[in-house]
Amino acid sequence: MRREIPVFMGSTIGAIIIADYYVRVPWISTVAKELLDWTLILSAFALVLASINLVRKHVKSIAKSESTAPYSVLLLVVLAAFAFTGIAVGTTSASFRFLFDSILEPVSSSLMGTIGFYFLSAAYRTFRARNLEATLLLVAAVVVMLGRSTIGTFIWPGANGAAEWLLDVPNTAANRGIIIGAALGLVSAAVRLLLGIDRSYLGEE
Amino acid sequence: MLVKGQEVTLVALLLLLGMTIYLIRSARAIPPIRKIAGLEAVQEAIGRATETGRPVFYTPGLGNISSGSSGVDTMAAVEVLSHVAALTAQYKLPLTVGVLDANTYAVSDQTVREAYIRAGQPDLYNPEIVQFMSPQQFGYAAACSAFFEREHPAAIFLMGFFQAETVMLAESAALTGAIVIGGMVRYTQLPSFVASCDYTLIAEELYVAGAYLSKQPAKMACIRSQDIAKLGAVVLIAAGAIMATFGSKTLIDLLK
Amino acid sequence: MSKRPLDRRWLYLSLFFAVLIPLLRPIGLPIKVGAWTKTVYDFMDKIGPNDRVFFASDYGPGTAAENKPIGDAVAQHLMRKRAKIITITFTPEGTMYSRAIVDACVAAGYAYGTDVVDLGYLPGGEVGLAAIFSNVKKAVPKDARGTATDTIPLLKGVETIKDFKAIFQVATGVPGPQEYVRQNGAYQVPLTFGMSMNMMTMATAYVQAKQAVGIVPGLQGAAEYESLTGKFGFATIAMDSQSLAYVVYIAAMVMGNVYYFLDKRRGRSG
Repeated sequence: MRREIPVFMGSTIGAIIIADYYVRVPWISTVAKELLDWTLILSAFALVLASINLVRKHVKSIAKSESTAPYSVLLLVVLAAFAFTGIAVGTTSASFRFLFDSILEPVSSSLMGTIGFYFLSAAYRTFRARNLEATLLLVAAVVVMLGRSTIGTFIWPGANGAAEWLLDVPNTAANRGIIIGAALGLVSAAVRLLLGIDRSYLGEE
Repeated sequence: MLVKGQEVTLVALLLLLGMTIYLIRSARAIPPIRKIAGLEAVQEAIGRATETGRPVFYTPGLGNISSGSSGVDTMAAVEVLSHVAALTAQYKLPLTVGVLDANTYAVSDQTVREAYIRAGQPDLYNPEIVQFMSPQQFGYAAACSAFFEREHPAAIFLMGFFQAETVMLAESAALTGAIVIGGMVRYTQLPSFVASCDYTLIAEELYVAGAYLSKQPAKMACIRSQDIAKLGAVVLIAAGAIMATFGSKTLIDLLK
Repeated sequence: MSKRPLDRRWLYLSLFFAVLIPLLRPIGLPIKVGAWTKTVYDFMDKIGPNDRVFFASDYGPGTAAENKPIGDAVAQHLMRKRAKIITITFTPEGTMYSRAIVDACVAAGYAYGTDVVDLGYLPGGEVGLAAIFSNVKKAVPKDARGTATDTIPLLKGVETIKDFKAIFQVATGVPGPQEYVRQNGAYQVPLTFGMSMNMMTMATAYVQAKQAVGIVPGLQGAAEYESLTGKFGFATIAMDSQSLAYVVYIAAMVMGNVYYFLDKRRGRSG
């Protein structure tokens, strides 16, 4: 029963949500929307659990005076600042906006910016013309970069057109194949979940 | 009663469902899945970790398990996690699972606990194996990268749903010298994995991973029905292309 | 792997200066407008003063450097056409950017409630998208300022997404083109996107299948859009940096290959 009830619930709820996508029956729509609202409520509770895990991990790090303890202190201070400001004065307040503009936005943008350096490292390390496929990959990367930059079109006026052709024709063709394959795989995986064959959400193999 | 424009997809879904049920009930043997290098390498990666005594890191990506777009990718990653966790329990290896989404955290924690019980090592499980890194995309990626730098895992598994942080994770994992096995379905970031990881599960290879590792007949039957559906799609595409070349739009209009 | 004599940090330093210097001293390389951006511009140019546009800013601070200029350029164009703009976001951090669009509209003489409305953040991703497409006011009972959507003049008579002339989404992840195309299937409202270059590969198939009108691709697309509208902004300035950064990438790839072939010739492994 410990396994059967969750599987039955999962299958029934999944079937209702899917039915709502295909048919317009008022009671199915009502039940489906209600169930989807419940997922948001469950997500909120899951976030509480996850937050406890996060705080516990960093408090332990501070208590053990690990090398990362100062960063844990910083994390907990900023977490508290965002939480209290958002709850006390609201997320649309000037204070919250100040925190967002001065902490979250620059930090997120900076981390996003480091991706450029990781790409550079990957390009230097792995883009080697070892064989025909790797050479084609290298040439395509260079053509697209030239085509999507002003300096590229300045050096080679046809670069934009070549890049657009590469993206429109071979790239889109390959992506279409992957989209279709992945979509069928997704439906098959969903069917496994609905039929209760795949019970990984219960921790089973 | 039927939503306009969805009739064809409903018929396709019902056909796939029917075919899957038929293949599951049928006693006929299912042909084995072709060798997938990334999944064959799981044992090798765990073996490397056992020899060096270094930890194993696993992340099921930043997908939300209850989301329509990333849920199934994340479920597939959790399926592989179940297998990897059982192996780390069996060989008594330290395992860390980094997650971004709260729902995924709850399911991953349950999965790891059950895997340790299944492997006969319930005492080795502790709630700190699964760590909620950050609800922010780059906070999560930075936390994972910092873990790689500090702990130098021997094996790193990057499975599931990823977005712009893919190259950051894959490259920082590769630079530690660990065996890195990546797997994702979303093709916009796949090239980053292919470039940086030692092994990559491409697109639906991630979806079949659970069936591949467990070899359960019911799961294999689902993969078989998926392959038959793919063959049907190829036939339709070819037929549609030929008909459209000769000026006929019958098939296109039929499928609209 | 063979040893490389060049420390990667020199490459990182080159990239840093390649991005920084043009921001301080712009080069002014000419911008050639591509077909993708032109398609979206031509479509938006046909939007009239009473047409409602569903304007979704589904991105966060991490990708704002690339996405915000796209949103700003298209919003400026729509403001020039005096289109009615209804902003929304399906990502929590997107509220700041939705609000910025509304503030820009108000500064341009738009009246809030009559010409522009901010519906705020709608959680649930694709689920939220499905909800609002099928019933706008039921999915969002109050706008971002707490006003009941039933009482907002701009939303009078609006029931589903079909009451909008166009949808424009600035996307960086989920919900993205796939989700919008899927949910728009029953309504067939013209869909346009602005997105990072890495996302673009996902959307071109939909444009070719005519499930979407067009895409403004990345920072270059934003710069092209700015040159079409004549209102130059950050994207135009940043294009010089992007160009030089690409030169550094290409140089790194060439150097990597030079070392690889030299090593091969010397008979070392790798």
